[in-house]
Amino acid sequence: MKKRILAVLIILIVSALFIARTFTAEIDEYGTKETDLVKAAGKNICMSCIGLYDENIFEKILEKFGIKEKKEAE
Amino acid sequence: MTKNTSSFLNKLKNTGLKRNLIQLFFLIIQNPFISNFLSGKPYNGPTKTFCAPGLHCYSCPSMAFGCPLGTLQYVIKYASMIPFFALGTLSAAGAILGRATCAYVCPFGFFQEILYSISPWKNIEAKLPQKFRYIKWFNLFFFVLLIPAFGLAQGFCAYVCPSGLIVAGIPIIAANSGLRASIGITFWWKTALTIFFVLYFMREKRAFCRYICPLGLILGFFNRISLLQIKLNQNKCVACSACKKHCPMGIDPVKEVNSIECIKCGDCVRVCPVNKKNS
Repeated sequence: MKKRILAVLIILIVSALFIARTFTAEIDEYGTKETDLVKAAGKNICMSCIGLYDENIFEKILEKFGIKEKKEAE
Repeated sequence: MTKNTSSFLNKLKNTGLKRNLIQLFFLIIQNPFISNFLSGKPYNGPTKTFCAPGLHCYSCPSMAFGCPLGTLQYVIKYASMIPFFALGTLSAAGAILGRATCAYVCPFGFFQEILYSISPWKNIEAKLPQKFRYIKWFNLFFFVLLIPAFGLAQGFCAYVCPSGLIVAGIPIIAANSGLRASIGITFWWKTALTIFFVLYFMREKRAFCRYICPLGLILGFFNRISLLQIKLNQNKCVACSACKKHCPMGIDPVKEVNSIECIKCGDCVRVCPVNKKNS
């Protein structure tokens, strides 16, 4: 029981540190913080979440690994 | 205490209405901006910086908070970094409630329960084989982690999540005629999948939580140690299987209480004849 409560306390402290980090640590040279990303994610209409923006996963994989370019070159 | 108050409190205790009221409370807290459905634009005030621990699309016009699963994928995809904010939120919720978050806080869990309760096709015995539970492990590693890690897409949101389509996609498209031009194959894929899910939710209780939801899986990792636990007294168990029959997750609470699959809804405690006799 005590061990479980100790584990929960440790997790809560780590969670608090994680969340605090997102408000303070800069993730790029422009001073962007992770909270800015969280805001950006939540404030806009997410085209992919609602299925509007066509993301052809197979085409993207081919592009990502350069397979499409190779095929086109051939 | 009057007789009416006493019978209402008994009803709360015996029917699970208390949990439904808590679910309703969290649904309202998370969705205060109902009027945004008319404009078809998501709320974008200061609370959107924070995530609520349940599955509810952050593009939903009335939603006051972010979705932790969507945020997690967004940060991995666009910043290629560990999503500390979403992980912090989920581990805090997991440490306190564990998967009870699914039973009490998650709006999508509540939606499934409403669908099931009004369904003409519900079947308490309906249950896919145990191995179907591993779909959510695949969803977590492939759609939530791997696809965003390669910068390809927010995999789960884009291809699987029915919440995005139901609470965000359809209302936003209904209110914005300009966006209808963007409808393509992904939309129709998600629509077909969502129709299938909705029909299946009407047959099997909490089917999405049982087999599909990676958010529930993440919260389930904390289930054994979370503050909220269901205590089972093996010595008093009469092996009547009433708890197994009523479990919304289709598990045997005698063997799997507080396991990664248990959402700690308390239905097993409510239907237990030994517990009823003692109370």
